Amino acid sequence: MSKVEKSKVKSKKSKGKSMEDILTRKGRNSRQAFLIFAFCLLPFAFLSAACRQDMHDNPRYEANEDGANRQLPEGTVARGSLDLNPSAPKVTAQAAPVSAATPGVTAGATAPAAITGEDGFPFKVSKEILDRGESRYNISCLPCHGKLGDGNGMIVQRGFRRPPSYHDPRLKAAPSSYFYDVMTNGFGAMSSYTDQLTPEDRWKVAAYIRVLQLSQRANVAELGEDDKKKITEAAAPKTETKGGNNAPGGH
Amino acid sequence: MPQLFHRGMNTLARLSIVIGLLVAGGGLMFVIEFNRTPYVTQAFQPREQPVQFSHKHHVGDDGIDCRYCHTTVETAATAGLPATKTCMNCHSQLFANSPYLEIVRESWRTGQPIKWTRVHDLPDFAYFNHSIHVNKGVGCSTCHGRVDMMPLVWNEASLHMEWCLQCHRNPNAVLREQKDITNMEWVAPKDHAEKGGAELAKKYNIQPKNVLTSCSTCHR
Repeated sequence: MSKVEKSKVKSKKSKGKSMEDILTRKGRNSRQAFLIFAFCLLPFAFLSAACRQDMHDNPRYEANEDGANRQLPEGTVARGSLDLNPSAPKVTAQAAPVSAATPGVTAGATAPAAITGEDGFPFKVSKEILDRGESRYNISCLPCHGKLGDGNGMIVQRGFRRPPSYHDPRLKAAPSSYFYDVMTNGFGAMSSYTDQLTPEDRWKVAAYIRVLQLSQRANVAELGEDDKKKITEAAAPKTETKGGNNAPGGH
Repeated sequence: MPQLFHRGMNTLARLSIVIGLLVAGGGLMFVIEFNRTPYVTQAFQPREQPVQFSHKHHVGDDGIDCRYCHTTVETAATAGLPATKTCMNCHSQLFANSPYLEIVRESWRTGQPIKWTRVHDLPDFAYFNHSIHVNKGVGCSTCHGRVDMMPLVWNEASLHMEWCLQCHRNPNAVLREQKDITNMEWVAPKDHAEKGGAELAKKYNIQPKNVLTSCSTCHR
């Protein structure tokens, strides 16, 4: 069949139908075509969904959107940062102001006098409080003061000025409020830790410093049976790992 | 009336439907999988920061606890970016003259906070709170990976919803004791979800699955 004949047949056929018929069929075809076309486009719709949309970034101000935490503006008091025990007896040895103190001058040299005062704990010390103090000590103090409180932490080994050991007779005799005072106001090279430790936690850390001091001069005879047993069990390997105890950041 | 198309065209027509579906389906699959790739999620891509701060050095080498700087992680929604004073606690003496730290010292002088580049940015319609996760036994490295091995920090996770749901459907597998929360080396022991994890879930009072996976838990 030639092309001409074909077209003739087609035109004849179309003539036999009403105009409406043609239109609806055509309409159905194009609708189907459109649906298939839309279906093929679906993947691209998902592609565009991968981009960040308005809802991802609401017009609101978020924490740290402008950078790091800010310093407390002068003359303001952060919520929860007030001293728990303002009536706590002040320690007599005045803490040296935080400044670029001349290197080589140790804390012992700036405050040679005995530190006197009362402990002044605002709460009764319990096991929970000591546990909390230990965890806060290990976070905020351990880098310099070391796990044992001997002032040989990792940051000191990196070159920071060595803090006095808690096992110095002077610090053993000091009241707990002295440690609270140093944490609050800083001392020598150590800056204030009010940003990192709440007043409550500072007292708890002070309590834990007492634990550390006791740990290095405890009388075995005064220990409970459980602890005595632990010591005898650990006695043999303890001599080997003693150096390891001093190891930096040991946790 | 003569045939317009050869009879074989029927097969071709049917085949074209199948092929069309396969192509469309394949395209869909491609797009879905493509969105999961690090190319889109930016996972494993270290971000440039204004200061060459290395978590690998501070956490890995120095052994500083995460919470020395990210102080609010246990009490607030955000872990907190440390104020410049926290840097100066040590860097008033260490590397005090290093040109790398000039931006830190400038911030210290002017009082303007350092503008770090955000690494983990959840979409704003997802509610996330660090403190509830940390206090209920989800450790840092579960989501953030081995930060102690990252010189510049990248995100380990896609931060896709399916990633969140992995844990929310089966939290027991990742729960750990409080003492291990910031331990970078912690890995779940064998059968943790059934044994230790299940016990911890009870101890932490972890909500049942239908609560953890409810829409309004995260979209509120």
